[in-house]
Amino acid sequence: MRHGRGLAISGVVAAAHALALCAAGGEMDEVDRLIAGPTLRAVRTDEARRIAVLEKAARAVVCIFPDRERSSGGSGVLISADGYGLTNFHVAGGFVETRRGYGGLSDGRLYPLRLVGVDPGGDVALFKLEGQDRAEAGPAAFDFAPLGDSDALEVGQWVAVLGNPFTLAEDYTPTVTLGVISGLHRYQEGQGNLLEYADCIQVSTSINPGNSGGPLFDLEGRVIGINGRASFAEERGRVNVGLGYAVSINQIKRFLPGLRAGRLCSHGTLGIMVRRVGPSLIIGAIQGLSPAERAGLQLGDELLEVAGRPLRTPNQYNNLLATLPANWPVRVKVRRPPPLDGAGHPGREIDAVARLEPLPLRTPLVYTVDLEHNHAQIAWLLDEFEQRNSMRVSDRLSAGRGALTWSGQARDDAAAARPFWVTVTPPFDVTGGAAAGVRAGGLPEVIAREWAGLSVPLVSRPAIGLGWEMLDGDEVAGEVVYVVERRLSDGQRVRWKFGLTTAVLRQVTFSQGDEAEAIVWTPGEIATWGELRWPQTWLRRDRAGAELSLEIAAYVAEPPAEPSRERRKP
Amino acid sequence: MAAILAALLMAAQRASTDHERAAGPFADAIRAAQQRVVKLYGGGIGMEQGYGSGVIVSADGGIVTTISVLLESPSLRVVLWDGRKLEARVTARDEARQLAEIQVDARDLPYFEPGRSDHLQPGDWLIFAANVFKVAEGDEPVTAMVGVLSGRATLEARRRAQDFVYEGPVLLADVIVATPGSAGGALLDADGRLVGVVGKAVISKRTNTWVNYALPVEEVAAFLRREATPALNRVAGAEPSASGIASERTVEVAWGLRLFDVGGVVRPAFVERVRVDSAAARAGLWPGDLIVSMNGQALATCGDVRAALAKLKAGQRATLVVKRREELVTLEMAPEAGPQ
Amino acid sequence: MNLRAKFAARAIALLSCTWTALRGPAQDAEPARTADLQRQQQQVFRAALRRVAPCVVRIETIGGAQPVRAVGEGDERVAAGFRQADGPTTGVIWSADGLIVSSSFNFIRDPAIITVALGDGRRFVGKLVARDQAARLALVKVEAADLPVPQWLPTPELRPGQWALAAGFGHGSDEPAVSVGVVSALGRMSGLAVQTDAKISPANYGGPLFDIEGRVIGVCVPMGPGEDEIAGVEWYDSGIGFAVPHEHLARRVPRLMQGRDLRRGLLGVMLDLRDPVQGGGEDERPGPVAGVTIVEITPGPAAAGGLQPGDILTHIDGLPTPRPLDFRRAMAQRFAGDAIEAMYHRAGETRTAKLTLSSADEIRALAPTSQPAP
Repeated sequence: MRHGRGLAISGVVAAAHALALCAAGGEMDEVDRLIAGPTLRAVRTDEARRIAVLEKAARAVVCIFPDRERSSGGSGVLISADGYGLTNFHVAGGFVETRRGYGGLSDGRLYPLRLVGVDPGGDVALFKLEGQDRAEAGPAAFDFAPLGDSDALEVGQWVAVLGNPFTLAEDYTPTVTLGVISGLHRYQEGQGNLLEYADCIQVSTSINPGNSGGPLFDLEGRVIGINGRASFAEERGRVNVGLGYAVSINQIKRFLPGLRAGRLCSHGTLGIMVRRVGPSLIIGAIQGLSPAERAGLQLGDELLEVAGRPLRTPNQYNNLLATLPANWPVRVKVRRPPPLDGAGHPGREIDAVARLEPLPLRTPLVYTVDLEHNHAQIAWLLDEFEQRNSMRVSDRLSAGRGALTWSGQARDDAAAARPFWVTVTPPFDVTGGAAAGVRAGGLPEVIAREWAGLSVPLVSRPAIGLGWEMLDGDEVAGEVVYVVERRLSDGQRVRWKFGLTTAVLRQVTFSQGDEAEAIVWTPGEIATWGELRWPQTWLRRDRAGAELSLEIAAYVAEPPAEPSRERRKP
Repeated sequence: MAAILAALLMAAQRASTDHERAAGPFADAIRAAQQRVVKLYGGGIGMEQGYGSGVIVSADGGIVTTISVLLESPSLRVVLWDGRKLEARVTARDEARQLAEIQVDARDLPYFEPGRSDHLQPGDWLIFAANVFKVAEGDEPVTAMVGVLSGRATLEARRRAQDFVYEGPVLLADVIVATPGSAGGALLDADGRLVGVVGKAVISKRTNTWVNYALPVEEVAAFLRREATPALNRVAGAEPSASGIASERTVEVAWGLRLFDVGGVVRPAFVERVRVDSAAARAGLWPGDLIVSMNGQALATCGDVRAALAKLKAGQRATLVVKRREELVTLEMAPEAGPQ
Repeated sequence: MNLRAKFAARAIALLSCTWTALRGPAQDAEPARTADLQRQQQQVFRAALRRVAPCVVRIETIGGAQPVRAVGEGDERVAAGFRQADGPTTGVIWSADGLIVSSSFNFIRDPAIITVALGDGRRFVGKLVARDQAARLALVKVEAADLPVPQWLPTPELRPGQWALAAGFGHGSDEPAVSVGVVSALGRMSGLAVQTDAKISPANYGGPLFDIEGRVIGVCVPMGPGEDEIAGVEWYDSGIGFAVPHEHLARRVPRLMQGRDLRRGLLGVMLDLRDPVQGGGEDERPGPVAGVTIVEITPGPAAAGGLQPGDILTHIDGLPTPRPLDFRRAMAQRFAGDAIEAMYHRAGETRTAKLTLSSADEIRALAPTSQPAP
């Protein structure tokens, strides 16, 4: 019986295995060979997998130099096919004025490198490599590395560092070192306002001068951090002794939209100081007009959770805050102590959302946005949105008599262009809220105007010029988003927010002058309309907090029967 | 039926963990280590650090660490894995092993059972956990690193200008443990058992480099049992002088040989003459021989030979390897009549 | 369930687990359970060390001068002592008849006496045959027969990320101490070295870097910025370590056997070390001629061969040198006293020159003195 024989063989092998494990030293060649078969194979298989992952990862690693003499330099990693990559601000600091440097890739070639956006507080910078052969058809296609999730890391997990320590990479192939995660959520004090590493990843992988700015990889080949600091022993000088630190990729993701927009990104502050009182974390000081105060927090409140993370110590609080950008929405949960006469009452829990205000750099840095590049990013983002959402620009937008019609070409996977018309006609299904002016069966002009405004870049490719700008990123429903803003001549500002990795439209806001985002449109589930994918439901929240939901009732595949009054594109 | 189910269940369990790739392979051992390693704080002096590590060896608050200026501090304190800060007092010191035991007022602490390290072979995984560079504060977990056992050796080291007192067996670790704060930290095997306690950072006299080592857990256990270390049991003919080493020629006279000592920095141990009927003569030592090693230990200078002879215990033989012309010759020197 | 059935159940469970475990890796691409993989890795590391150990020798050196290192410039140039350690060092058996490869670091003192001990207890007196300045090697000879030679890993098979172990006797034990790391990069140091993050230090200089099957990759040596004998030692245990791989040993050991030290071969030129920039500006892009431009010529072989500043070196002995790195790699394989053919470009013409390489001392001797002629 085959099965029985299999079991018998297992038994014999298991016994021999056990015997081998009991044997102590001495002549073990026979047993070595017995173990060596499947044992060696298992170790070789794991080794081969690691080699393959690191070989692919190495193609995304950049050796960065401030000049062609290449006597000093750091490292970086490409994160997109069009050549954008991450490094440390202190690596780019060598050429922050000219914004021009050089990047060497493992193909042995040196490329021109342009500094795009900087985050000095977090010691991060975004660059772009150029110089791919123009003769080739199509856009540049650099090898790049995917981003991982630094919140999923575990101490003791294997990680790899790739970079250019001591500028040993004469041919720009990166140095590979292997180690484990030694600690998470570590804090390293800064020097001035630079190089403060909060919530950083501590690793035992060898990190030496020159590794700065380079990637920390997990063994799936995903970037989980950017290496930038190490602890050095005085007696040995600046040479690795087993402690390196990397900025976590989840922190960097929040700054990516602003970096890509070519901006100087600031970190944020709530405007409070926290103190440990017994087992509780208390707001010990609160600045007037600070985000905390405006959100309704008070002196003496006990901090329970910030941004979803329960906190127990001031260190944890500082660690977390330091990873957040200015203007970031932060949910703060506190327990308000009961009033002095409310004996026996436990405090009540208060949930507040605050928007962080910018934390100024101690030594201010002047960094002007390159508007041409910024506008190119808006165009790039709208392309991404189109491609991911099967939409294509149309060339006609008309509205009238309470109806919005736009026509265009929907492009599906088969790349066949088919015309469509979407007429959104009353009656709209109006639910909720008590929005003034909404008449059953009608669409108030103001809402129609807003909707026409928010559709602009989604339906027709606008001329991206004066008034347009890509801003710092934001967070909507837990997702990091790009923010594209358009300022109209009457002071109105419209902002579109697209998901960082998906380019899905998450939110559109309207505001007037300096006020914060006042009217918020949130798209709901995306529905398919023939070849068109478009949110079927929209939720509009106004200044007073009233909500209005709209649902598209009809999709028409033929041109509207009556000619609509044509309106100029806004 | 139940048997088949049991078998299938086990197979299924295995299959599901096969897909679990997120967990670090050393996670369990590291967690065990982080709970049983404490952060130590006190006053530092000059270049000496004001912080270090210790390992919990008993549930009621016994902690082992290395001897350092920290222990002199009146404000010696221990921070446990959960952030509790406790005052500590020194209850025992072992100058030979450079270990100390301190006590905190606590109960039901997780602790390391005394174990063994002799099952380890070079190449076996080691986990190192300590308060390195005091990166971790409060209840933040101590630093963890992974390496292998490099080998075993007898420590011969110095610290600043002085010879390091401990000259016994050590585990050599292939992970950097010669860093501020690491002394008193734990070395564990892959199963999470304590196999060594990291010693004070010293420079090996053999390689002139900072050496990554730990005292084997057997030495720690012996310390806890208050056993004296054999390293200090120097029983030999020559009385140690006040400086601790045999005076220049006494030990040579005792064995019946005279070294040709030209002075200077490098003085190879050529034999100048041999006394008739002495232990050296009976061993077959000739004038002109160059003593290269004794009992397996290489001897580069006259001073090395004298020190090695002085370290021999009563009745111990010396196996000498000498270079005679172009050959190496092995000689057995036995102190039959005993050194005079 | 009765006792028998229980026992049967347990037995079947145990055997089926063993069966699954043993079949696992061979069957498919599923990764082994991590706890098992750790154990397997340990076993493999142990076995690899055991396999290579017979070919690793312990070298003791006695006598010789303490090396000194000159520091400072001009009038302030002083000799600073360097205290080399007293412990044993390491070598790798090259041939059954007694050639041992080690690192020149272990022989800086020019020791009077060298003894070599094998793992099987045999001891020999050794003679230093010659040293290789650029590759930091030393060749030692003992009179022996039937020494165990290692299995070498062919250098083209090396891959970054693969396990790399180093072993040496520097810490004084009877067994070599081991360090485990990975191959960090290939062709470093002008192509001379494999880079590893295993801890390389005086504990294992001269010892083998090997893979998990005990096949030797190369010999561990210190390397670093600077040309003197102890360059790179300051990087010990830093995760930056080097070994000279087999393909270079195979070429250099036979030359060392001739008994003369191998010194770097120089031409007496200063080159434009900047790489061309892909898609860069006008003056940055790769030029029409793929070569390295001579910026300055000092008295030496190049000058004697008629080369001038502005000439573009395109080939050394037929090997193309489009980048400064290619030039350095070609020169790293050649030594003072070697004759080479250099092909270069001048004013649209291709020319060749036969040149004999000089050593650094020879070039210094040719340099004009600082005093102007009266």
